[in-house]
Amino acid sequence: MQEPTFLILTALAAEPAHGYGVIRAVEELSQGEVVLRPGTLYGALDRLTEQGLVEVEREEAVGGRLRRYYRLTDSGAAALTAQVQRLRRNADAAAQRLRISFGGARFAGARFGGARFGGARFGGAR
Amino acid sequence: VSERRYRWLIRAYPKAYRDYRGAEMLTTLLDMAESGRGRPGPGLSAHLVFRGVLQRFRPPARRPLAWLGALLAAVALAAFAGVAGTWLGWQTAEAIPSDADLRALNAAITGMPAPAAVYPEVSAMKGPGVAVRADGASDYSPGRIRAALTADGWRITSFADHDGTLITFAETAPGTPVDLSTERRLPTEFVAYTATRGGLKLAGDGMVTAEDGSARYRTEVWPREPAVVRPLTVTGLAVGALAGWLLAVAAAWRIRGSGRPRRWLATGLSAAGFAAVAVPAYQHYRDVYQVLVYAHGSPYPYIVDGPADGRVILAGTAIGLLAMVTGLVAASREASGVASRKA
Repeated sequence: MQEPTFLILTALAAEPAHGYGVIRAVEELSQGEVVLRPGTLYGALDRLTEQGLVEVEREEAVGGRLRRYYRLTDSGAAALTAQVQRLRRNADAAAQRLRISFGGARFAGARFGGARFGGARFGGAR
Repeated sequence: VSERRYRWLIRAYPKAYRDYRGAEMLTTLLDMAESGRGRPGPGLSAHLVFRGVLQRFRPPARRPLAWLGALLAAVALAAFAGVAGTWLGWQTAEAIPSDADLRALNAAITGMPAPAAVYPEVSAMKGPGVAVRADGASDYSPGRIRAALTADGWRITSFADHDGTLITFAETAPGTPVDLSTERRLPTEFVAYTATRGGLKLAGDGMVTAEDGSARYRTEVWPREPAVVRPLTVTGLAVGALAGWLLAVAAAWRIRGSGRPRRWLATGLSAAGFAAVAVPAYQHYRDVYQVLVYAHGSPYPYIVDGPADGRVILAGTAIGLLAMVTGLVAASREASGVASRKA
């Protein structure tokens, strides 16, 4: 799973969001590192919808502007959970090896410990 | 101002896609602009146009027949456009002299004033050409041939003649073997020459039998291949492939919105259409091949096809086009009907 896809699924994990909402959420989640452009976002949403990972939750037309809200499907949540576990396993393995090689407290922090990915965020998606 | 600009940029996307995503994308773009995140600069414009054009190349997902159709359409249309490119290239070739001019030249060369037969020809590499044949009674005069060519503006590039023998037998009824006892050996003068004039080439030969004064001359004139023929042929192939793919993808998106029976009808008719254009497309690829392998300098415009091929190509093309257009119309009628009912 590529990073933008992972971030889009993550953005939709907490609550449904429309196009601009996803762009903003992805930017926040990546701490400004990933700024999706509209073409990329909708290309990814097309693909994720085709794969059944994301679906349209509702449509709103306010002031002549159409907003489509997307949410994670069950298989989308499952795919994201699997990816989270994979990333956590790899991150833990990397942190452990760095600890062995370089020792010390530098890499022993709680960052890879699971608190960040293990929270209630994904549990509450559905 | 930016809304109009965004609307214009979104037009890079195919219509079927815009119908579903256009309004939503516009909202997102305007949301971004208002929050100062995505100004309508050249970067964003290029991005939208690039993604839009890319979308035009993408057949509907999980539709293997759409992918196959796009591939076949690209292959088929490339053949037709390749031949069109060749034709366009040959339009820039130097014009063949008129029949009257050719007959006058022939009369001057052969010394036989009777009107000669003129046969227009199309070479294997699709270039024009003409053959003039004259049979009659005359003498042999190399000086007359050279003078006739030079006076008509031709520069002689080769000239060779030699004394030979013409072996003849008495005519027999069709199907009966030649009677070898009737063999006659006639001293005959053979001549062959080539010449050029501007972008034209000429090859001539003749044989004159002194005993009975019978003469047979043949003159062929054809244009040198213009430099643009091969590049235009290759460009035609590429443009045709691109257009075929894009058309098929657009058709697949249109058909996608129809009901199952219409979709199958469109698929069946498209398959029939592809089957019908298979022979013409194959023939066109052979023509393109002949163009690409033709020796540089246009030494001789040979022929590899019989005149019957044209009818097969025309019929196959017409049936194929009809089948595909019918299929597309049948399917998209219902698709637009569904769309309007939804609206």
